[in-house]
Amino acid sequence: MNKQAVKKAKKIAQFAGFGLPATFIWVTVVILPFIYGIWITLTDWNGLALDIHYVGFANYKSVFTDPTFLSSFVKTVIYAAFTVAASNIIGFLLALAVTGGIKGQGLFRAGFFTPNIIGGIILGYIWNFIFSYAITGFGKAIGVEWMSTSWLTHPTRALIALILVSSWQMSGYLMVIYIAGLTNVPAELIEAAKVDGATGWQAVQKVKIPCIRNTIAICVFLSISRTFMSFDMNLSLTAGGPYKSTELIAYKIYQTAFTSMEFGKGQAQAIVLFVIVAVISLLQVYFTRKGAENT
Amino acid sequence: MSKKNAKKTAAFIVTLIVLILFMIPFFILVINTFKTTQEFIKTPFALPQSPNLDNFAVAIRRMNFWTALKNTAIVTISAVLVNTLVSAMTGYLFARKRWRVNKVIFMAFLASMVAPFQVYMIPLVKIYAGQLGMSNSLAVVAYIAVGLNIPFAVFLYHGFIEGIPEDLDEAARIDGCGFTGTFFKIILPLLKPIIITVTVFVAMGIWNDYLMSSLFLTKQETKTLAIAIKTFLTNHSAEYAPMMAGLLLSIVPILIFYLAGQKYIIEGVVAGSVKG
Repeated sequence: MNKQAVKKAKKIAQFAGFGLPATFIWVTVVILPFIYGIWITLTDWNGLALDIHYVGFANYKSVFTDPTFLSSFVKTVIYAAFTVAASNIIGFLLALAVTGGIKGQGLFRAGFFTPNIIGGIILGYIWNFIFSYAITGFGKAIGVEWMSTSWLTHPTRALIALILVSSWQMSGYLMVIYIAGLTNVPAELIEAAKVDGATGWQAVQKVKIPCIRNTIAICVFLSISRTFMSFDMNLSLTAGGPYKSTELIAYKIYQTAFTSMEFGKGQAQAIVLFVIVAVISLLQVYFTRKGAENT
Repeated sequence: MSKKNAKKTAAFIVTLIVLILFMIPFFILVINTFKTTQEFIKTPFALPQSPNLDNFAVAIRRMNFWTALKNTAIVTISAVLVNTLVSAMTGYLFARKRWRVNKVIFMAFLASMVAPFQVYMIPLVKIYAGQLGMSNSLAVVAYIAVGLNIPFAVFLYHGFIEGIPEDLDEAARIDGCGFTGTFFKIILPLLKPIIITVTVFVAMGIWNDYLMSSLFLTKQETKTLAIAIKTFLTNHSAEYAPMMAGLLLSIVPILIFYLAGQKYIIEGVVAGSVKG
């Protein structure tokens, strides 16, 4: 009896010393805000602490009937589709290039990865200057019309600019993951294919790509969820403009909450984003597990 | 054989050209930091005619560069230290003591990694800036950064510690080490590689963070680099050349870090996202 109590006390002490600090911080930063956030979606809170009413599911209803939210959702899907496709293709090709045994592979990898060590805010501003002044200056000098006005002042071109810059950044990131996948492809397999007369590109198609199916799944899902959460570059490159034409979903949430001061509605939009990202992650787990079973 | 060599040289040249194209934005940035604004607008692609460093002086003053650098360093270093300690300890507890409560919390950690920051954003502002009145506190930003990174860090430490044989713990116990002693004397030194990985990932995320920090740090003297450059660029809308200098200045610290530990950084950043 006494011995058991001592054992139990020891257990509690160990938990308190080792597990509690992290658990406490996590609960106060993640769990409580999450629960509190769900409560916020059920209110009409507008930033004034004294004036909060319970409104039921009105915020969710207004999210799904708000044309500006739906349009930013559609734009996010378009942005995600092009960015995911472009950055995965470029990332894969870069990975092929720097695993082929050329000189200075390490330097190339470090170089292509560089945009990923710099924050999206800064990268977005650098490109903002390039689109606004450098390209337009060049376009005027050589007299090309579509380069003479800034892409960022034209709705479709601004979205294209956002896709280009995001792909530019993300392809170096995905490249590193593809490199890890490609270096795990057994060299004998590629040799065997070459002996059988496969050209370099056939070896890629028939041997390398099937071998890295799992890596491809990881990269695709990773890039999908990252594009859906994209905020920094959206802010510094286009700031949602022109005329709110490039407000992606994460940016829209920020605007609803901190510019329009509609916290309940903004939080309801955030919950919608959460569900989207959660579904993407679950699909990723499902597909990578399934892939692992097949190989 | 020479055909193969020729092919490799061609591949090298093509890759090099692609890399140069990739890096053009940075070249444009660098050459324009030494020009006047007029010269920048007229000839953005040309090398500067009479290079001068005035833009840097202007940017350092307007951005409050040294203060911002200091604030960024304070937040990043303190958050990383706390995160490393509490997460490694929890990872150890969860890996060695398979109590039900530990399993439940661990699963909850993993589940919470799925959620995007936007879900916590509004409630965090309401709780910490609103009800607790702690806006413009670097400590609060560091604290939230620790919390947001705990699940991922515990997950990696837990996995790594599970790979360390429990015989080691047993041996230490026989030698008279308690649970705490075993962790600090035996396990912690073995965690070096995983600590580097986690630290790099967490530190880069916090150093470059704009969204979370900007919700709390609004006063000039508490701004971090990402916020300082944002305000500088939005408030002085016609002085492009100093802005370019400001952007370059904001990149330099992280670039030095990258040059110093490029291999670890690439590994760390990638390990962080391919957790599954």
